[in-house]
Amino acid sequence: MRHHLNPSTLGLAFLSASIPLVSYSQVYLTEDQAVKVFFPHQVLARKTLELTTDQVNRIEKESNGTVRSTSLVVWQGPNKETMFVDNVLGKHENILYAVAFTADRKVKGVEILEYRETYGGDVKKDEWRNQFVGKDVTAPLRLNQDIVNISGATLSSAHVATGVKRLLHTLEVVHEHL
Amino acid sequence: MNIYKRCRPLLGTFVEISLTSWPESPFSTWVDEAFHRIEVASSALSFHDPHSELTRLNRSAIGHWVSISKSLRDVLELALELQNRTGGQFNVATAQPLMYWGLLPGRVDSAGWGYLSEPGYEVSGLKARRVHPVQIDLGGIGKGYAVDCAVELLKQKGADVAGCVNAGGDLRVFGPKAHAIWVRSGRPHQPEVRMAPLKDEAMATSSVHPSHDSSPYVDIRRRRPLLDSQTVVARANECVIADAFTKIALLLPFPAAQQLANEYDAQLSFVS
Repeated sequence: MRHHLNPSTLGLAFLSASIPLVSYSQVYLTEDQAVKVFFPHQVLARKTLELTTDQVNRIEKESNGTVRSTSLVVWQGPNKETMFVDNVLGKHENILYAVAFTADRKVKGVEILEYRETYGGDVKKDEWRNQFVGKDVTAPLRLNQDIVNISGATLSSAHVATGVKRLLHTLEVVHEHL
Repeated sequence: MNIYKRCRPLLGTFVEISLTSWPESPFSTWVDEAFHRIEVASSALSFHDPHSELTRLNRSAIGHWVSISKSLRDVLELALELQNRTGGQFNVATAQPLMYWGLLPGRVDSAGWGYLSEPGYEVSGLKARRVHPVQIDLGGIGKGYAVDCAVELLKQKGADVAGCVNAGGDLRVFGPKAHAIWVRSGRPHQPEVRMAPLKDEAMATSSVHPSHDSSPYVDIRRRRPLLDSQTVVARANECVIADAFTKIALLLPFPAAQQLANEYDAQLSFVS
Protein backbone atom coordinates (compact mmCIF):
# COMPACT_ATOMS: atom_id res chain seq x y z
CA MET A 1 0.00 0.00 0.00
CA ARG A 2 1.25 3.43 -0.86
CA HIS A 3 1.36 6.00 1.85
CA HIS A 4 0.08 9.44 1.26
CA LEU A 5 1.90 11.81 3.51
CA ASN A 6 0.00 14.82 4.57
CA PRO A 7 2.64 17.08 6.05
CA SER A 8 0.11 19.09 8.00
CA THR A 9 -0.83 16.07 10.08
CA LEU A 10 2.31 14.04 9.93
CA GLY A 11 4.79 16.78 10.56
CA LEU A 12 7.65 17.28 8.23
CA ALA A 13 7.91 14.68 5.54
CA PHE A 14 10.79 15.17 3.24
CA LEU A 15 12.02 14.27 -0.17
CA SER A 16 15.05 12.26 0.59
CA ALA A 17 18.13 12.19 -1.58
CA SER A 18 18.86 9.13 -3.60
CA ILE A 19 16.09 6.99 -2.26
CA PRO A 20 12.69 5.95 -3.52
CA LEU A 21 9.84 8.25 -2.89
CA VAL A 22 6.31 7.39 -2.05
CA SER A 23 3.29 9.49 -2.68
CA TYR A 24 3.84 13.03 -1.57
CA SER A 25 2.34 16.33 -2.52
CA GLN A 26 2.87 19.86 -1.47
CA VAL A 27 1.44 23.25 -2.39
CA TYR A 28 3.87 26.10 -1.87
CA LEU A 29 2.57 29.21 -3.55
CA THR A 30 -0.41 30.33 -5.56
CA GLU A 31 0.25 32.20 -8.79
CA ASP A 32 -0.67 35.47 -7.07
CA GLN A 33 1.74 34.80 -4.24
CA ALA A 34 4.52 33.93 -6.67
CA VAL A 35 4.03 37.22 -8.52
CA LYS A 36 4.40 39.06 -5.21
CA VAL A 37 7.59 37.12 -4.40
CA PHE A 38 9.19 38.07 -7.70
CA PHE A 39 7.72 41.54 -8.20
CA PRO A 40 6.68 42.85 -4.78
CA HIS A 41 6.27 46.43 -5.95
CA GLN A 42 4.65 45.95 -9.35
CA VAL A 43 1.18 45.04 -10.46
CA LEU A 44 1.10 42.28 -13.04
CA ALA A 45 -1.92 41.14 -15.02
CA ARG A 46 -2.69 37.53 -15.87
CA LYS A 47 -3.59 36.34 -19.31
CA THR A 48 -3.57 33.16 -21.32
CA LEU A 49 -1.62 33.11 -24.53
CA GLU A 50 -2.41 30.68 -27.34
CA LEU A 51 0.72 29.66 -29.17
CA THR A 52 0.45 29.33 -32.93
CA THR A 53 1.77 26.27 -34.73
CA ASP A 54 4.61 28.35 -36.09
CA GLN A 55 5.53 29.57 -32.61
CA VAL A 56 5.42 26.04 -31.21
CA ASN A 57 7.68 24.83 -33.99
CA ARG A 58 10.19 27.61 -33.38
CA ILE A 59 10.20 27.06 -29.62
CA GLU A 60 10.68 23.32 -30.00
CA LYS A 61 13.44 23.77 -32.55
CA GLU A 62 15.34 26.36 -30.55
CA SER A 63 14.89 24.84 -27.10
CA ASN A 64 15.14 21.22 -28.20
CA GLY A 65 12.16 20.60 -25.92
CA THR A 66 8.57 19.57 -26.39
CA VAL A 67 5.70 22.02 -26.05
CA ARG A 68 2.97 19.95 -24.46
CA SER A 69 0.39 22.67 -24.16
CA THR A 70 -0.24 25.48 -26.61
CA SER A 71 -1.97 27.47 -23.84
CA LEU A 72 0.45 29.50 -21.81
CA VAL A 73 -0.30 31.37 -18.59
CA VAL A 74 1.53 34.72 -18.59
CA TRP A 75 1.65 37.44 -15.97
CA GLN A 76 2.98 40.73 -17.20
CA GLY A 77 3.70 44.12 -15.71
CA PRO A 78 3.92 47.62 -17.17
CA ASN A 79 7.67 47.41 -17.77
CA LYS A 80 7.66 44.01 -19.45
CA GLU A 81 8.17 42.15 -16.19
CA THR A 82 7.00 38.66 -17.05
CA MET A 83 6.14 35.48 -15.21
CA PHE A 84 5.21 32.22 -16.90
CA VAL A 85 3.38 29.43 -15.13
CA ASP A 86 4.20 26.00 -16.45
CA ASN A 87 3.86 22.38 -15.64
CA VAL A 88 6.41 19.61 -16.09
CA LEU A 89 5.83 15.92 -15.81
CA GLY A 90 8.65 13.81 -14.52
CA LYS A 91 8.61 10.07 -14.58
CA HIS A 92 6.89 10.09 -11.24
CA GLU A 93 5.99 13.64 -10.45
CA ASN A 94 4.00 16.57 -11.63
CA ILE A 95 5.50 19.96 -10.90
CA LEU A 96 3.78 23.30 -11.31
CA TYR A 97 6.30 26.10 -11.27
CA ALA A 98 6.68 29.76 -12.11
CA VAL A 99 9.56 31.45 -13.90
CA ALA A 100 10.01 35.19 -13.66
CA PHE A 101 11.92 37.19 -16.25
CA THR A 102 13.44 40.63 -16.12
CA ALA A 103 12.58 43.25 -18.73
CA ASP A 104 15.66 42.22 -20.71
CA ARG A 105 14.40 38.61 -20.76
CA LYS A 106 16.76 37.03 -18.30
CA VAL A 107 15.63 34.56 -15.67
CA LYS A 108 14.89 36.43 -12.47
CA GLY A 109 13.95 33.35 -10.50
CA VAL A 110 12.15 30.05 -10.34
CA GLU A 111 9.64 29.05 -7.67
CA ILE A 112 7.92 25.71 -7.32
CA LEU A 113 4.18 26.28 -6.87
CA GLU A 114 3.09 22.67 -6.44
CA TYR A 115 4.92 19.38 -6.28
CA ARG A 116 2.96 16.19 -6.63
CA GLU A 117 4.24 12.69 -6.95
CA THR A 118 2.15 10.65 -9.28
CA TYR A 119 3.31 7.38 -7.80
CA GLY A 120 6.25 5.97 -5.92
CA GLY A 121 9.45 6.28 -7.79
CA ASP A 122 13.13 6.37 -7.84
CA VAL A 123 14.39 9.89 -7.94
CA LYS A 124 18.08 10.48 -7.87
CA LYS A 125 19.12 13.94 -7.02
CA ASP A 126 22.39 14.02 -5.25
CA GLU A 127 24.21 16.31 -7.60
CA TRP A 128 24.86 19.95 -8.04
CA ARG A 129 23.52 22.03 -10.85
CA ASN A 130 24.03 25.42 -12.25
CA GLN A 131 21.89 28.26 -11.14
CA PHE A 132 19.02 29.36 -13.30
CA VAL A 133 19.38 32.92 -12.22
CA GLY A 134 21.01 35.08 -14.84
CA LYS A 135 20.56 32.52 -17.58
CA ASP A 136 19.52 34.01 -20.85
CA VAL A 137 18.53 32.39 -24.07
CA THR A 138 22.13 31.83 -25.10
CA ALA A 139 22.87 29.78 -22.00
CA PRO A 140 22.51 26.07 -22.59
CA LEU A 141 20.40 24.26 -20.03
CA ARG A 142 20.90 20.67 -20.97
CA LEU A 143 20.75 17.46 -19.08
CA ASN A 144 24.24 16.07 -18.60
CA GLN A 145 25.77 19.45 -19.13
CA ASP A 146 24.10 21.65 -16.59
CA ILE A 147 22.64 18.79 -14.64
CA VAL A 148 24.06 15.37 -14.22
CA ASN A 149 21.92 12.32 -14.12
CA ILE A 150 24.22 10.02 -12.23
CA SER A 151 22.00 7.04 -11.77
CA GLY A 152 20.03 7.03 -14.98
CA ALA A 153 16.93 7.55 -12.87
CA THR A 154 14.62 10.50 -13.24
CA LEU A 155 15.93 13.77 -11.99
CA SER A 156 12.89 15.79 -11.15
CA SER A 157 14.74 19.08 -10.95
CA ALA A 158 16.16 18.32 -14.41
CA HIS A 159 12.64 18.45 -15.81
CA VAL A 160 12.28 21.91 -14.36
CA ALA A 161 15.63 22.88 -15.91
CA THR A 162 14.48 21.81 -19.35
CA GLY A 163 11.18 23.58 -18.72
CA VAL A 164 13.00 26.81 -17.85
CA LYS A 165 15.02 26.51 -21.03
CA ARG A 166 11.86 26.02 -23.08
CA LEU A 167 10.26 29.06 -21.44
CA LEU A 168 13.35 31.18 -22.12
CA HIS A 169 12.95 30.41 -25.81
CA THR A 170 9.20 30.82 -25.57
CA LEU A 171 9.68 34.36 -24.28
CA GLU A 172 12.05 35.13 -27.16
CA VAL A 173 9.42 33.94 -29.62
CA VAL A 174 6.36 35.62 -28.09
CA HIS A 175 7.64 38.72 -26.32
CA GLU A 176 6.73 41.07 -29.13
CA HIS A 177 3.17 39.80 -28.99
CA LEU A 178 2.72 40.23 -25.24
CA MET B 1 0.25 25.26 13.06
CA ASN B 2 1.04 28.14 10.76
CA ILE B 3 3.62 27.18 8.16
CA TYR B 4 5.18 29.30 5.45
CA LYS B 5 6.86 27.10 2.85
CA ARG B 6 8.72 27.86 -0.33
CA CYS B 7 10.58 25.63 -2.74
CA ARG B 8 13.11 26.34 -5.45
CA PRO B 9 15.10 24.11 -7.77
CA LEU B 10 18.64 24.55 -6.46
CA LEU B 11 21.67 22.34 -5.81
CA GLY B 12 20.42 19.79 -8.33
CA THR B 13 17.38 19.10 -6.22
CA PHE B 14 14.43 20.91 -4.73
CA VAL B 15 15.28 23.08 -1.78
CA GLU B 16 12.38 23.65 0.59
CA ILE B 17 12.53 26.36 3.22
CA SER B 18 9.78 26.32 5.79
CA LEU B 19 9.12 28.63 8.70
CA THR B 20 6.96 27.38 11.51
CA SER B 21 7.36 30.37 13.77
CA TRP B 22 8.22 33.97 13.08
CA PRO B 23 7.68 37.37 14.63
CA GLU B 24 5.87 40.24 12.96
CA SER B 25 8.33 40.80 10.19
CA PRO B 26 9.05 40.56 6.49
CA PHE B 27 9.63 36.83 6.79
CA SER B 28 9.12 36.16 3.08
CA THR B 29 12.11 38.44 2.43
CA TRP B 30 14.14 36.37 4.87
CA VAL B 31 13.32 33.27 2.87
CA ASP B 32 14.43 35.09 -0.29
CA GLU B 33 17.70 35.92 1.47
CA ALA B 34 18.13 32.30 2.58
CA PHE B 35 17.61 31.02 -0.95
CA HIS B 36 20.10 33.60 -2.17
CA ARG B 37 22.61 32.40 0.43
CA ILE B 38 22.26 28.88 -0.99
CA GLU B 39 22.84 30.22 -4.50
CA VAL B 40 25.99 31.99 -3.31
CA ALA B 41 27.31 28.79 -1.70
CA SER B 42 26.47 26.88 -4.85
CA SER B 43 28.30 29.37 -7.02
CA ALA B 44 31.42 28.67 -4.97
CA LEU B 45 31.10 24.91 -4.58
CA SER B 46 29.44 23.63 -7.73
CA PHE B 47 31.29 21.11 -9.86
CA HIS B 48 28.85 21.65 -12.71
CA ASP B 49 28.85 25.43 -12.88
CA PRO B 50 31.57 26.40 -15.37
CA HIS B 51 31.99 29.71 -13.52
CA SER B 52 32.17 28.40 -9.95
CA GLU B 53 35.22 28.83 -7.76
CA LEU B 54 35.57 25.07 -7.58
CA THR B 55 35.63 24.81 -11.36
CA ARG B 56 38.35 27.44 -11.42
CA LEU B 57 40.37 25.34 -8.99
CA ASN B 58 39.71 22.14 -10.96
CA ARG B 59 40.96 23.86 -14.10
CA SER B 60 43.97 25.56 -12.54
CA ALA B 61 47.55 24.51 -13.19
CA ILE B 62 48.91 21.93 -10.75
CA GLY B 63 50.74 23.71 -7.95
CA HIS B 64 49.23 27.10 -8.78
CA TRP B 65 47.54 28.82 -5.82
CA VAL B 66 43.98 30.02 -6.48
CA SER B 67 42.12 32.55 -4.35
CA ILE B 68 39.01 31.07 -2.78
CA SER B 69 36.12 32.29 -0.67
CA LYS B 70 35.51 31.37 2.94
CA SER B 71 32.75 28.98 1.82
CA LEU B 72 35.03 26.96 -0.43
CA ARG B 73 37.83 27.13 2.13
CA ASP B 74 35.57 25.77 4.91
CA VAL B 75 34.35 22.85 2.82
CA LEU B 76 37.76 21.97 1.39
CA GLU B 77 39.32 22.05 4.86
CA LEU B 78 36.61 19.89 6.37
CA ALA B 79 37.01 17.42 3.50
CA LEU B 80 40.76 17.22 4.10
CA GLU B 81 40.22 16.68 7.80
CA LEU B 82 37.76 13.87 7.15
CA GLN B 83 40.02 12.35 4.51
CA ASN B 84 42.73 12.22 7.14
CA ARG B 85 40.43 10.83 9.84
CA THR B 86 39.06 8.08 7.57
CA GLY B 87 42.42 6.83 6.40
CA GLY B 88 41.81 8.31 2.97
CA GLN B 89 38.46 6.59 2.38
CA PHE B 90 36.51 9.85 2.38
CA ASN B 91 37.88 11.78 -0.54
CA VAL B 92 36.22 14.60 -2.45
CA ALA B 93 38.87 14.54 -5.18
CA THR B 94 37.26 11.51 -6.79
CA ALA B 95 35.45 13.24 -9.63
CA GLN B 96 37.81 11.77 -12.19
CA PRO B 97 36.74 8.14 -11.64
CA LEU B 98 33.13 9.32 -11.79
CA MET B 99 33.88 11.15 -15.05
CA TYR B 100 35.67 8.07 -16.36
CA TRP B 101 32.62 5.95 -15.58
CA GLY B 102 30.36 8.50 -17.26
CA LEU B 103 28.69 9.47 -14.00
CA LEU B 104 29.89 13.06 -14.16
CA PRO B 105 30.24 15.18 -17.28
CA GLY B 106 33.62 15.65 -18.92
CA ARG B 107 35.92 13.35 -20.80
CA VAL B 108 38.99 11.85 -19.19
CA ASP B 109 41.33 9.16 -20.43
CA SER B 110 41.72 7.34 -17.13
CA ALA B 111 40.23 7.11 -13.66
CA GLY B 112 43.46 8.46 -12.19
CA TRP B 113 43.58 6.01 -9.29
CA GLY B 114 47.25 6.67 -8.71
CA TYR B 115 46.51 10.14 -7.33
CA LEU B 116 43.78 9.18 -4.89
CA SER B 117 45.79 7.59 -2.12
CA GLU B 118 46.72 10.94 -0.61
CA PRO B 119 45.22 14.44 -0.51
CA GLY B 120 45.02 15.88 -4.00
CA TYR B 121 44.97 19.51 -2.93
CA GLU B 122 46.16 21.90 -0.24
CA VAL B 123 44.53 24.85 1.46
CA SER B 124 46.33 27.81 2.98
CA GLY B 125 44.27 30.71 4.26
CA LEU B 126 41.98 31.81 1.48
CA LYS B 127 43.98 30.02 -1.19
CA ALA B 128 43.99 26.48 -2.50
CA ARG B 129 46.01 24.54 -5.02
CA ARG B 130 45.86 21.13 -6.58
CA VAL B 131 48.98 19.11 -5.88
CA HIS B 132 47.92 16.25 -8.16
CA PRO B 133 45.87 16.21 -11.35
CA VAL B 134 42.66 15.38 -9.48
CA GLN B 135 39.16 16.71 -10.01
CA ILE B 136 37.24 17.77 -6.90
CA ASP B 137 33.50 17.29 -6.58
CA LEU B 138 31.92 18.57 -3.37
CA GLY B 139 28.51 17.05 -4.08
CA GLY B 140 28.96 14.78 -1.05
CA ILE B 141 29.06 17.59 1.51
CA GLY B 142 28.36 20.85 -0.27
CA LYS B 143 24.61 20.48 -0.13
CA GLY B 144 24.77 20.12 3.64
CA TYR B 145 27.04 23.15 3.82
CA ALA B 146 24.59 25.21 1.76
CA VAL B 147 21.75 24.17 4.09
CA ASP B 148 23.83 25.32 7.07
CA CYS B 149 24.45 28.69 5.42
CA ALA B 150 20.72 29.25 4.95
CA VAL B 151 19.93 28.13 8.49
CA GLU B 152 22.59 30.39 10.01
CA LEU B 153 21.12 33.33 8.15
CA LEU B 154 17.59 32.58 9.34
CA LYS B 155 18.72 32.00 12.93
CA GLN B 156 20.21 35.47 12.98
CA LYS B 157 16.73 36.89 12.41
CA GLY B 158 15.72 36.12 15.97
CA ALA B 159 15.59 33.41 18.63
CA ASP B 160 11.89 32.92 18.05
CA VAL B 161 12.31 32.12 14.35
CA ALA B 162 11.83 28.41 13.73
CA GLY B 163 11.73 26.21 10.69
CA CYS B 164 13.60 23.86 8.45
CA VAL B 165 15.80 24.01 5.36
CA ASN B 166 15.61 20.81 3.34
CA ALA B 167 17.74 20.23 0.26
CA GLY B 168 16.43 16.99 -1.18
CA GLY B 169 16.61 15.21 2.15
CA ASP B 170 19.65 16.91 3.60
CA LEU B 171 17.92 19.05 6.14
CA ARG B 172 18.38 21.08 9.28
CA VAL B 173 15.76 22.11 11.77
CA PHE B 174 16.21 25.28 13.77
CA GLY B 175 14.38 27.17 16.50
CA PRO B 176 12.50 26.10 19.57
CA LYS B 177 10.22 23.53 17.94
CA ALA B 178 10.88 19.84 17.38
CA HIS B 179 10.09 18.39 13.96
CA ALA B 180 9.01 14.87 13.19
CA ILE B 181 10.97 13.35 10.33
CA TRP B 182 10.22 10.34 8.19
CA VAL B 183 12.89 8.58 6.21
CA ARG B 184 12.27 6.53 3.13
CA SER B 185 14.47 3.50 2.86
CA GLY B 186 16.44 2.54 -0.20
CA ARG B 187 14.13 -0.37 -0.89
CA PRO B 188 11.11 0.14 -3.08
CA HIS B 189 7.61 0.00 -1.62
CA GLN B 190 8.77 0.20 1.98
CA PRO B 191 6.88 2.45 4.37
CA GLU B 192 8.65 5.45 5.79
CA VAL B 193 10.54 5.03 9.01
CA ARG B 194 9.80 7.57 11.67
CA MET B 195 12.93 8.92 13.30
CA ALA B 196 13.20 10.54 16.71
CA PRO B 197 12.13 14.19 16.38
CA LEU B 198 14.76 16.75 15.46
CA LYS B 199 15.26 19.95 17.37
CA ASP B 200 18.05 22.33 16.43
CA GLU B 201 19.65 19.47 14.57
CA ALA B 202 20.44 18.28 11.07
CA MET B 203 19.77 15.02 9.30
CA ALA B 204 20.99 13.64 6.02
CA THR B 205 20.31 10.46 4.12
CA SER B 206 22.30 8.63 1.48
CA SER B 207 21.67 5.31 -0.10
CA VAL B 208 23.00 2.89 -2.61
CA HIS B 209 20.07 1.52 -4.50
CA PRO B 210 19.80 -2.27 -4.88
CA SER B 211 18.71 -2.11 -8.51
CA HIS B 212 21.54 0.10 -9.68
CA ASP B 213 24.80 -1.19 -11.04
CA SER B 214 26.58 2.02 -10.12
CA SER B 215 26.67 4.70 -7.46
CA PRO B 216 28.30 8.10 -6.95
CA TYR B 217 30.35 6.77 -4.03
CA VAL B 218 33.85 5.78 -4.98
CA ASP B 219 35.39 2.81 -3.21
CA ILE B 220 39.03 3.81 -3.55
CA ARG B 221 40.46 0.58 -2.17
CA ARG B 222 38.52 -1.64 -4.56
CA ARG B 223 38.68 0.93 -7.36
CA ARG B 224 34.99 0.67 -8.15
CA PRO B 225 31.69 2.32 -7.23
CA LEU B 226 30.31 1.37 -3.85
CA LEU B 227 27.54 -1.11 -4.59
CA ASP B 228 26.45 -2.51 -1.23
CA SER B 229 22.78 -1.72 -1.08
CA GLN B 230 21.96 0.29 2.00
CA THR B 231 20.41 3.49 3.27
CA VAL B 232 22.14 5.40 5.99
CA VAL B 233 20.84 8.29 8.06
CA ALA B 234 23.13 10.64 9.95
CA ARG B 235 22.14 13.22 12.56
CA ALA B 236 24.43 16.00 13.67
CA ASN B 237 24.33 19.59 14.81
CA GLU B 238 25.37 20.81 11.37
CA CYS B 239 24.03 19.56 8.08
CA VAL B 240 27.48 19.47 6.47
CA ILE B 241 28.59 16.99 9.14
CA ALA B 242 25.45 14.89 8.75
CA ASP B 243 25.90 14.95 4.97
CA ALA B 244 29.55 13.91 5.20
CA PHE B 245 28.86 11.10 7.65
CA THR B 246 26.26 9.48 5.45
CA LYS B 247 29.11 8.94 2.99
CA ILE B 248 31.58 7.90 5.67
CA ALA B 249 29.05 5.35 6.98
CA LEU B 250 28.79 3.86 3.50
CA LEU B 251 32.57 3.78 3.02
CA LEU B 252 33.82 2.58 6.41
CA PRO B 253 32.91 -0.46 8.51
CA PHE B 254 30.07 0.64 10.75
CA PRO B 255 31.90 0.52 14.12
CA ALA B 256 34.72 2.67 12.75
CA ALA B 257 32.26 5.10 11.17
CA GLN B 258 30.22 5.45 14.37
CA GLN B 259 33.35 5.84 16.48
CA LEU B 260 34.49 8.72 14.32
CA ALA B 261 30.95 10.12 14.21
CA ASN B 262 30.94 10.26 18.00
CA GLU B 263 33.82 12.71 17.88
CA TYR B 264 31.69 15.01 15.74
CA ASP B 265 28.55 14.53 17.88
CA ALA B 266 26.92 12.68 15.02
CA GLN B 267 24.74 9.57 15.18
CA LEU B 268 24.45 7.04 12.40
CA SER B 269 21.69 4.58 11.69
CA PHE B 270 20.86 2.28 8.82
CA VAL B 271 17.35 2.00 7.49
CA SER B 272 16.34 -1.34 6.04
